[in-house]
Amino acid sequence: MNKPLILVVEDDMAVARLIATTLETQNYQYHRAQNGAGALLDAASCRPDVMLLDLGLPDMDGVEVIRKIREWSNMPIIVVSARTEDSDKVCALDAGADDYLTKPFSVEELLARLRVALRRVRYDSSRPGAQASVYENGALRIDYAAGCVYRDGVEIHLTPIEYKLLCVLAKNTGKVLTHNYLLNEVWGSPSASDTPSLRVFMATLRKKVEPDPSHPEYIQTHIGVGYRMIRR
Amino acid sequence: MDQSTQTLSAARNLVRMAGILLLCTLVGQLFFRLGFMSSTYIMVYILGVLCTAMFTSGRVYCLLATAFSVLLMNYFFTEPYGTFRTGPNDVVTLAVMFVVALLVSSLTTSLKRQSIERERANEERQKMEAAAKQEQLRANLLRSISHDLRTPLTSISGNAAILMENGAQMPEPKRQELYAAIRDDAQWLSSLVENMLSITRMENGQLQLKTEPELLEDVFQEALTHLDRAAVRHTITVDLPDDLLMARMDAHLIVQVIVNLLNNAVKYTPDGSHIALSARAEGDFVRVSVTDDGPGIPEDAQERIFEMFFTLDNSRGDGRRGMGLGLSLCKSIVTAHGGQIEVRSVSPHGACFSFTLPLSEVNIHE
Repeated sequence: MNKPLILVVEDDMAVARLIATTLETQNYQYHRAQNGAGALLDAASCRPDVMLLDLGLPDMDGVEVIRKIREWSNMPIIVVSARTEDSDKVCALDAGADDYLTKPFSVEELLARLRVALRRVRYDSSRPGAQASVYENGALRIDYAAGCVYRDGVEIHLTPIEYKLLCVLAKNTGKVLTHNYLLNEVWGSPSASDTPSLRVFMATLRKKVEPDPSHPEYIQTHIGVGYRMIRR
Repeated sequence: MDQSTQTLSAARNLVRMAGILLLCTLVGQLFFRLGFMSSTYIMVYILGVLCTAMFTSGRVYCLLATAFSVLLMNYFFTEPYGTFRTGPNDVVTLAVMFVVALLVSSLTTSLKRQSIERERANEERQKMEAAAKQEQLRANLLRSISHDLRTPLTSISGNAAILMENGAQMPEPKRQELYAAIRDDAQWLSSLVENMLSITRMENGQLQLKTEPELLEDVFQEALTHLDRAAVRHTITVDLPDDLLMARMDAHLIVQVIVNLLNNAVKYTPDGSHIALSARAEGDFVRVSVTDDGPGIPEDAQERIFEMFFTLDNSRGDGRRGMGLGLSLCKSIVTAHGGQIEVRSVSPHGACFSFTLPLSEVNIHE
């Protein structure tokens, strides 16, 4: 793909203008919608590569927009939230969003998030629908058939739960996965008392998988929200 | 009160009144068999009226009790027994009894009402005092904020104006300097707003906390991403034990405390200084410390340093005084978590700010 198309759904003029200017510097194309209804229309008509969705829209709940889009599209959705509480981000992620930005965000953060999203689009489109038997990401390699994990060719020994966790993260590379989602996928049910256990499992997984656990390259921690596997 | 609550309350009061009168009658019967004087029964009933006044909520029940007492007295304990007919003496007795009972019930109800009113007035006064104190704090805060916001805002608008007017003629390095100044001032404002937002979460002096067991390493990682740009000119090291360390906390707030402490260390020490962020288990607590090897904090300032609006003079490289909010905010957050925050000097020179949080056992539910 040459010029990626970003759909910017933002009703605040100043923020929209800032985002537009930023996108222009990277030679991204963009469309602008000012409300939820417009967002749904534009998403269907111009088929953007990534959607930037402000959660504080005047006409619709941002989560509703996400649900409707997810009925027919898998496009990466990055939500922009003005509130410091985590609950609205967690809701958006559980409804199908991939990532989030909190205002005030820096231009670097916005571009970094867009790059992650576009990388996922590029990666997914290069292997459509194939259930890969091997996952490769930087120096990390998961052989699903054999149930083994390697880093730089050396096998890493994981417990069954750690392996399951890693696979869920790998299957959703580039997406922020909420605690609830991970608890559901790995344990079968979310339960508030298990989130601390999840944190512990993630810490031990990180220690085994990351070359330098204090400067993680693969698994990002999002405090209060969840975790994400980054594509190197 | 709506209909149902009213009828319920009335029923409750009537039952109480009836119960008291029944009790008086039974006691009276006992005294009758024991051959006591009639005056005894009168006193028993007057006592009954007094109790009715104390245990029911409304004048009407006392009046009813008074009336019924006289009737019961007449029926059971006045000759001829078992009828409502009375002799002339007894009419007077009964009439006096009625008046006394009435007075007793009046006095008791008005006493009750007075004490309730006094209690309510006291509560109101306390509430108003607390609200006034809150207002005073808020007013001070607003004054300080508007004063301290003006400086970076003046700087930003000034630099922007200069760039618009003369930007084209300026040499590139000079232009970059002004751009950087605008960005740094915006960052300053950003931290200020973050701190202020935390303060608004305080209601009645209490912080609204949502705590969970969190890993110190996660919290440290997050804090390190929020440091001011000047942090790159210092050496920051992280020191955690090999075992996983967890503490019960509201992660975002504690991240803010750590960011405040680290940013302070960055601001108040010369370039190239070492800053160490560490955590250790201490009994039932976890102690988080930020230690620097800068000039340190003078002993006399150490006592006051956590007070709101208190700042050390002229210690910052750029001459800008802090708003003095950071440390008092840190103290409020740490205290709300059940921990303590303190500062001490380290040798040969430097300061160590540390705070405690409740330790959380690392238990895994498979």
